[in-house]
Amino acid sequence: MVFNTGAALLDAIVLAVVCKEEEGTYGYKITQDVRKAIEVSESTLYPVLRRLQKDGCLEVYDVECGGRNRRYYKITAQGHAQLNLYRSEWVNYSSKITMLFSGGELA
Amino acid sequence: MSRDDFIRQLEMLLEDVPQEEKQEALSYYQSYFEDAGTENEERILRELESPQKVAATIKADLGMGAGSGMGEYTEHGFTDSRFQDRQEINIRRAPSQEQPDSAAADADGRAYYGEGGSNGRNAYGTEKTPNYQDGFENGSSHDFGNRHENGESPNYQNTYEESRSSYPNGYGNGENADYKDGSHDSYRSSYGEGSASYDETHRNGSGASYEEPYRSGSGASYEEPYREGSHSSYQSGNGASYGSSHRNGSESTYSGNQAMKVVLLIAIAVLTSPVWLSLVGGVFGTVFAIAVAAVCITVSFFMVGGVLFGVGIGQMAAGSLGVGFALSGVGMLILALAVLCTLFCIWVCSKLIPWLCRAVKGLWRGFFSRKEQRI
Repeated sequence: MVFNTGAALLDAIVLAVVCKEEEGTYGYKITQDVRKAIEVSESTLYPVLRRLQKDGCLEVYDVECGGRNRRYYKITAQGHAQLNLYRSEWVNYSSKITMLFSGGELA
Repeated sequence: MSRDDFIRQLEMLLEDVPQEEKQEALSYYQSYFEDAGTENEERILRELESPQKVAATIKADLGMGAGSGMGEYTEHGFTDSRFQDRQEINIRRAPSQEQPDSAAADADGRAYYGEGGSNGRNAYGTEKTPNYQDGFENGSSHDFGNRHENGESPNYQNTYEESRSSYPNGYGNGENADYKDGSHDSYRSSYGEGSASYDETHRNGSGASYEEPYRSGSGASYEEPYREGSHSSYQSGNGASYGSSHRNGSESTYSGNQAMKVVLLIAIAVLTSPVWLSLVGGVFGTVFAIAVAAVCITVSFFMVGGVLFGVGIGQMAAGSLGVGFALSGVGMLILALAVLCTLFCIWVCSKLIPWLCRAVKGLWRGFFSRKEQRI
């Protein structure tokens, strides 16, 4: 892709993906879901998830699945707040860019 | 490489990260493979590229290996410690390193933008979209444009500040230090902003710029993660300001570190030579002695057995059948023992020695790959 996906945007995308699953979701699925939107390599998301977890935006819990524990990620209240912030930032940012691209005047 | 190999190597490479982080990462990738299923294993292994890359990504995010010239390290710049590290590098290195780079952008005051612009351009040039060169002017001015715009909308700043409170001021300050090199005035005059908003915008600016390098972590420019990687990632950021000044820092620490490490390593090797020479000598001596002893015993068994057997035959011929049978029987037993010893020696030579060699090689490789990581 021509445009870069920065760390904040990546955080926002991951939070949005995890937020969609009320029961929580797991690493592999998160990666696949994120990949529906943007190109990320398989190794990109672990640090993002770990960081979001440390920052208190995600919580983790283990669920037994097929004789082993699968780690689930779930969004926290703080994560929701952060995601909302990202959303409004994104609307602000993208609408201005869109406006510029379409030749309109910025207010 | 199989998935197990991958996990094993990753484990080895993560030896120096805190136990908890190591376990987290290992179990993440372990279950990642399990969730993906065996049918996807090969694809994932291919996409992960190498355990080294994955380990570097993890360490980068833990703020390990700061200033060691690891490309990924900075691409994930996010946490406090990391920013502090960077800032230090910036402050220390910027003045001396600024000069060569700013040659591209003569005027001191402009060095900042100049560098940024040229880096950005390089990046776009080298990164599969050559016709972006023009566009990049927009890219870099878009960067400033952003700040500008941020400066104008205090609301935005505030929220941004809040949202970023987990990686605080350090960054902005670091950049400020850069600025003091003379660009402050020109910045203000050309962008017409008060110093207060300058500060704010600048911080936002750094937010924007760290985002950019990060992207290349997930992008394609990963070929040389440890060396060139650090450059290309910075360059690809149109977060010009940060990218350029920091690149200098890490570049210089990289070469400095490497030279220093080599010298240090040699010094350590020389100093500890009595210890390891005697150790190695002892081990090899012992192995050699055991081998010689085994061969001697085998040979003596053969000789004793042969002699006894011969004497026994002689006795039989001489008439004392009882003694003759007994002697030749014992002789044959000893000969059999000798044959067993020979077989054992052959087994040792064919199995144990190669195994030993492999073990030594594995240790050696483990040691060096870890070292490379650190360098």
